[in-house]
Amino acid sequence: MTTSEQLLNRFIDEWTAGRRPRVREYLARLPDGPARDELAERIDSWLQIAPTPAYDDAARQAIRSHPAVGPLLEHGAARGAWTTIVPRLRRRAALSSTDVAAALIERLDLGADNTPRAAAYLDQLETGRLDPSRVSRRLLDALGALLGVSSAWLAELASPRHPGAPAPAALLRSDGDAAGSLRDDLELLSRAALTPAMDELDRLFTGGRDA
Amino acid sequence: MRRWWDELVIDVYDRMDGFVGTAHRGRLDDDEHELAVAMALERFARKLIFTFRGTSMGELVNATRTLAQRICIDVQRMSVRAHLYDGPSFDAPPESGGAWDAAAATQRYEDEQRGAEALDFLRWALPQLKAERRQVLELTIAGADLAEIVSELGVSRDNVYQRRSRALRDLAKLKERYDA
Repeated sequence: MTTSEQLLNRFIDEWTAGRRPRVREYLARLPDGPARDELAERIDSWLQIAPTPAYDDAARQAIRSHPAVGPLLEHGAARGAWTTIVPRLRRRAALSSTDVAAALIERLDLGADNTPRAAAYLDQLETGRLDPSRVSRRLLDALGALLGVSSAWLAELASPRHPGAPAPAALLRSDGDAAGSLRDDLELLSRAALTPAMDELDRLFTGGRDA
Repeated sequence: MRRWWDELVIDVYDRMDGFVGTAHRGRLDDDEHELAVAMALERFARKLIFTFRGTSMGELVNATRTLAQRICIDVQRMSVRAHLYDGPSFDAPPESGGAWDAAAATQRYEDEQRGAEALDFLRWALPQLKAERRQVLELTIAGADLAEIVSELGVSRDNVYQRRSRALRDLAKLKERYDA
């Protein structure tokens, strides 16, 4: 039996037992070339027909806590998607938050003295402390160009997940506290009424899509 | 509904991670791999699950696989641009029109997801496998572990491994014929 066959079977055994084998780790055991390609094809065939493993509680918790999975389980939350993906895109482009802020400021012709505030806004977005659904389209266009993705994709990341799903929406309505939600909205409006006027940078980050 | 969704996400994650892994075969680094998985899961949650027109888990797995492959290609392209391109500049984009286009990517996988039906394929393909290979594969798909298969069929562990590898190889060839 070849090494590739042995690895394939170990992978299947681990999968079936719910031990969550990682494809990358298995492929890395073979040099880049025909043997690795063959193993990848066999594992791919397996994954197409493989039953869902009987995960134990620890495995289920490990999946739930993965950075890419957690946001999907936060129903109706949009911030998770932004915080998971945008920092990776930024790192992929080998840029710091300050680099991005400086480039945005230059692009949008806002004056270099605004760079620290822009960097702070970006940091708030990446850490989930600022709602990305309020970011302006102009800023998304500029950010998308900088990170190498379309602004449409960024806008999608920034929008609430499951916007039109009928069944989950009905469930969320039944789970929600209408009075509490209304109280929060009123408080938000009250705070907004007392907040000083926004400048151009504030509007780009918090003024909504058309700002 | 929430519980159903949570179960689906838990089920899909390892498979998506695996499909991304088999698609790039080690050619993405760890960070790129994680980015591809995150983007694919996000796309799964935002688009695929709402536009999916299939009726079986097999079809969903097939659509998931197509999605993972497409996202991998997009991330690979992004990486190529990042490596070719020395520093960001808005005025001189590395590749005109090369930014990842969500709408186009969605259309690509939606077009393909209507293709093969995994369960139909298995019904068609399994009878064509040699009996000894089919038995091992059917038991594995049914969730039997290695010891149970060895006991059920009365063969050695190496024999089970060999039959299973060959069954999957045969299945891949049959899939090519099936898709043609």
